[in-house]
Amino acid sequence: MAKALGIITGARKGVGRYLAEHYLERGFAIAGCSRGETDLEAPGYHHRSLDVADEPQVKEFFRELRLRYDELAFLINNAGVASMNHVLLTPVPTVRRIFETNVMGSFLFSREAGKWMSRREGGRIVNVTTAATRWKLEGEAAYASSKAAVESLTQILSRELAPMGVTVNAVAPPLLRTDLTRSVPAEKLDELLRRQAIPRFGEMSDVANAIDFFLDPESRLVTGQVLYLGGV
Amino acid sequence: MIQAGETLSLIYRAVEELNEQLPPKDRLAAAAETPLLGDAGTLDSVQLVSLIVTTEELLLEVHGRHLSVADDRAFSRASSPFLTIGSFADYIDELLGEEDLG
Repeated sequence: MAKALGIITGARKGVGRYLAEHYLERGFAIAGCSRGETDLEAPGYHHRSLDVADEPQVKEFFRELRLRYDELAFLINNAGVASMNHVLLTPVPTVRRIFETNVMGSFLFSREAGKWMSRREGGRIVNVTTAATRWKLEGEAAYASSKAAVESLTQILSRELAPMGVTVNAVAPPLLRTDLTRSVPAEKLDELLRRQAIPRFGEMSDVANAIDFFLDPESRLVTGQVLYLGGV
Repeated sequence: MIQAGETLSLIYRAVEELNEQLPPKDRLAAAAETPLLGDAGTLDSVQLVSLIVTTEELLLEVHGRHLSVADDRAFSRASSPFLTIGSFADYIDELLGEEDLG
């Protein structure tokens, strides 16, 4: 019997890469994508270099997958870009790039996945958002507002796709040591950590644990939720 | 190229799938004159979405054609393409024809 398929966007590095390996270990076939090539080679792993906001590329990615797999078990919209800057100094192309990847990418992948899942036995969609939407951080206007859009998308998708047996949730990691936080000064990171109920950096495994919960077959009544880790 | 009548057959398959989820009294007849929307229609909005998505999916599966049927144009027409199964089929054929030309 063919393995159940999961799609993970932004799978080349960071959280996406961790999740790809995590779910491969758990017996899923994984289709990952990112702008660049990957060095992840594993049985059951397929990678495609694409722009998640490019509709023809995304449609082609799904078309290829559907020739190989009958069903899509889950989609994790992880691909995301950030840019920290004062609003008065932020160029429109930067804002556009952030919204294209974070919002349009999640929208496109969810739409194509929802179509596929609706004709089978339903499925699970998990979006990755951020604590920054709650923290209202100065310097993150474009990033945090794009993720706020992802949270609204999550909640509306959960209602529209519920009749098709698809649940849609989001996980908001606390501070993680990733490319997105690498350029943030240490004292700023300490200040942010103090805002969390549990003031430590999150681990990739913390994110995976939350997603495991959303993907669990027993979680069929869990939908439209945004789970903030670390007590944000 | 999709031949005449094939679109209707495809929609009938989508209707069959939809009927499996409907109570017997609400099931649709596989006929061109069957109403979908409007006063005579029996589908609610979610059921109409399911029918459209299933038809799009079958177009992809059977003919390898990726079509977004329910775009803004479809909803802005004076006469909705979703009034009957026949008008729905005509609209799909029109979109396919435009793609073939274009």
